[in-house]
Amino acid sequence: MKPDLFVVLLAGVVHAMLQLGIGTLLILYHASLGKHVSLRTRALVTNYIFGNALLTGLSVSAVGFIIYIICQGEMNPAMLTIVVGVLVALALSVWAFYYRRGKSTELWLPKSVARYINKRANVTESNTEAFGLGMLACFAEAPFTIILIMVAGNSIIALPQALQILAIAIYTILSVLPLLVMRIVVRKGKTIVDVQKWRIKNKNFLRVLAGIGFLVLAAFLLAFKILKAA
Amino acid sequence: MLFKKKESKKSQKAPKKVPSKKESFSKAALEKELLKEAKIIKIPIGEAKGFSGKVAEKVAKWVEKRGEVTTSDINMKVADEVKKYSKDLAFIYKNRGKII
Repeated sequence: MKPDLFVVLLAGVVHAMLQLGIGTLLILYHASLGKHVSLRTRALVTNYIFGNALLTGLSVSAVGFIIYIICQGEMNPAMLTIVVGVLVALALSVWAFYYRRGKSTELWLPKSVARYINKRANVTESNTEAFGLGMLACFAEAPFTIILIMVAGNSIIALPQALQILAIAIYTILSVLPLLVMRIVVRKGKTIVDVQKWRIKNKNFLRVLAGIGFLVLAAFLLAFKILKAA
Repeated sequence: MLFKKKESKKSQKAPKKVPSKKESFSKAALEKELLKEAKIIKIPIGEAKGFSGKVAEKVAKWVEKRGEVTTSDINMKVADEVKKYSKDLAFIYKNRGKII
């Protein structure tokens, strides 16, 4: 049980280190603070975070259920070996091209997708739109997060039933923790410029940490799931 | 030859030109935008009104000299002019569209 819980925690932490959700929230803050009163901005941000969290939680549950149906339980060592390979590849991808070149936090996303998210964030007026934007940001990061969701889902189905919902909640909360922290930080008085400067200053550190997180997760799966089963 | 070879319709059509989106620059709109951005980063309104007009004037003169400019060029020019008054505001204009 302990290795499975640790895998869920680690997958959640690695998910939290990815930057698209935070970047989109920053754009939403920037667009909203100039147009609305702070109470309205807070409502939009809350709905954004809720949308993001809901899609993450539902994805983990759904993927866990699909794995259970297809594999009649947890994934077998052969499938886990493929997952480990993908995690290593993603670690290298994060180090190589998660951020575009230059002194900014532009991400790997195709320009058209980034422009679309930018446009949506700038015209968000209602709570529903903010909720949808949160889901969109979560979905757009899928190439990097789907494997984390699979790993977490696989570990969750190995847990006792009483702990499964708790594990889903833990993963979801961990994945949106940076958004909650940013909300608190802005509430306390920091401007979006301060947040963006911090992101630029620490982008290399976060990138290295995320890559290491993917590798540690891969090593953990290899040691406790694959080699142990062999 | 009994039958003439039909020319393909593709070769007959002229290449499609993708029209670029052109907008006219507005000094008043830029001044309003500067005030809005200043409000976001908590610059006092009086201070913002003091420099927004001057910056908008300088950028308008520059655009007039240049003729056609892109939005990125305008953002960089605004960042250049505004950094004397507020580094944070210059940062916003320099990093437009570079968050994600």
